[in-house]
Amino acid sequence: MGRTVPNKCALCGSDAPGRRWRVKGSKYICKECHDRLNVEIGYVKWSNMNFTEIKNYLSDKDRLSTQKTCSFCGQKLSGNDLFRKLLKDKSVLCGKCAESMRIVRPVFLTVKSDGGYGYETAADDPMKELTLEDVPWVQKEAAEERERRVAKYGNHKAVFVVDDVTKYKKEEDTHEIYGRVMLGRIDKGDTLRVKRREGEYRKVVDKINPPEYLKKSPYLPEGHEGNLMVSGDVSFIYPGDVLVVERV
Amino acid sequence: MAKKNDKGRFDNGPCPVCGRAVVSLNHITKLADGKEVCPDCVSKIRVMYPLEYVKKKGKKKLERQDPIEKLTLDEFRAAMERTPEYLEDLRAKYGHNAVYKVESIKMFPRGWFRPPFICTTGRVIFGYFDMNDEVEVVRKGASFKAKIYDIVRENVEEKGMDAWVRRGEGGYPLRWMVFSQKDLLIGPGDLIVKG
Repeated sequence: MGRTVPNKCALCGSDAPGRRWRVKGSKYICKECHDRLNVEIGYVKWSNMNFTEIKNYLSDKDRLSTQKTCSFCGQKLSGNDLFRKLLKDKSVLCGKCAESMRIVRPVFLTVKSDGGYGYETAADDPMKELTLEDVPWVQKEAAEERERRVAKYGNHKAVFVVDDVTKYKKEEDTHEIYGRVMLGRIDKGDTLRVKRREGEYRKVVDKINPPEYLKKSPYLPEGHEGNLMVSGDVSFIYPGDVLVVERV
Repeated sequence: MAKKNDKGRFDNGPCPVCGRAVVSLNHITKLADGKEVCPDCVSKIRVMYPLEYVKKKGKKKLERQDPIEKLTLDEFRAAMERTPEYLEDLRAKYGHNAVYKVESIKMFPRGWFRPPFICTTGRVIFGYFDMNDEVEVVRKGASFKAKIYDIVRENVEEKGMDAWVRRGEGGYPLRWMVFSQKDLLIGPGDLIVKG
C-alpha cells in the first residue's frame, strides 16, 4: 500500500493542487509554505526542525514583525531594530529596553548537534524566560551591576575583558582578541588601551567580528562576547587583561 | 562520546567563575571541591599553575598532573586576582612579552640543500607563540633571530575541540616547537622570546 499524502497544507491550511513537502512529525506543507521557509529560516535549518518548532518559530517571527510599539516603554518599534526581543508571555521589548538588561542576562553560548555527526554553537538567550512583569526588577538589578562595574573598572566608553588572543591567518599579521564587553559598546575604529607596569599600549580595532546570532550588528554591545580584529603585534595582551576604550 | 544534557546541549551547566557554558566536549577541569570550571578561566591562571606531564615506570602514556585540580573554588578566585601581578613580575624578570624555555632538542635532517628540522621540547613560561612567529633565541647572553616553523602541543586533550590549534600558551608544555633554518644554534636551557 502506498503512502497517502494529505492534500491540505499543515501550515497554512490551503488545499491548492501541487507537490507537498514532508516535515519532521509526519506533516505535509504546500509549495508556497516551503518557499517561505526556505527564505525565512533556510533549508538546512528547517529540515532539522519538527513541525511544532517550525510553527512556533513562524508565530514568534510574525509577532515580532506585527507589534508596532514596545510593550514596556511604549516607544515605536523600528523595523531594523536587531535587538528587539520576544518575551515568554509574547510581549515585545524594543532593543533599548532589552539590551539594558543584557549585563545580568548574557547569552549562554553552548554546543549542540548539527543534526549529523558534527556540532555547532547554540546561543540560549535567558531573556526568553522573562515575562513583562520581570522587566522592572531585572532592569534594577542591571543598573546595580553596572554601578558595581563602573566602580571596579572606572567610567569609560567601553571595557572589554580578554579571554583569548589568536592569530587570524597564519601568514597575515592580524590577531583576533576574543572576550566579553563588560561595559559600554565597542565600535570599529575604537582605540583599545591596556595598562602594563612599564606603561600603556594602544591598539585600534580594525574590524568587529560579532557572534553568529549578532551577525548583522556593526558594533559589539554590552554583555556580549565577540572577536575584535587588530593588526600588528599584540603579544603584550594576555588572557584576563582588561582593555579600556576612552570617551572621545 | 560526550552526553547531551536535558536541553539537548553538550554542556554541564554554567562555570561558577564566569557564567559561561562548561562544554562537555572539551577537557573539563574539576576542582578539589567538585566544581567544574571552563577552559577559558583555567587558561587565565595557568601561568601560575603550570601543567605537567610525567612519564611513570612501566606506562607508555604520559600522566597529566594539574595543580589547579587541587584548588578549591575560593582559592581559584583568589588566584585569578593575583595573576595580573604575577604576570607583571614575569615580564619584568625576563623583559619580553612571551618566553619559552627549551628543555631538549632533536635534529631531523631533510636532505641536500634543505635546512634540518630542529625540534625543541620545553615549556611556555608566559605569553603565547604561534606558527610563523618571528622570535629571538637567547643563548649565553647572545641572541639570534628565528622563525617558528610549527608547534605541536603536548596537551592535545586540554582544549578538546581546539586541539588542532598549533600554538603554545603560558604554563603549558610543548611536545615540539619546530624550527627549520640554517646555522641556528639552540640547546637545552636556551630561551626563545617574543616582543
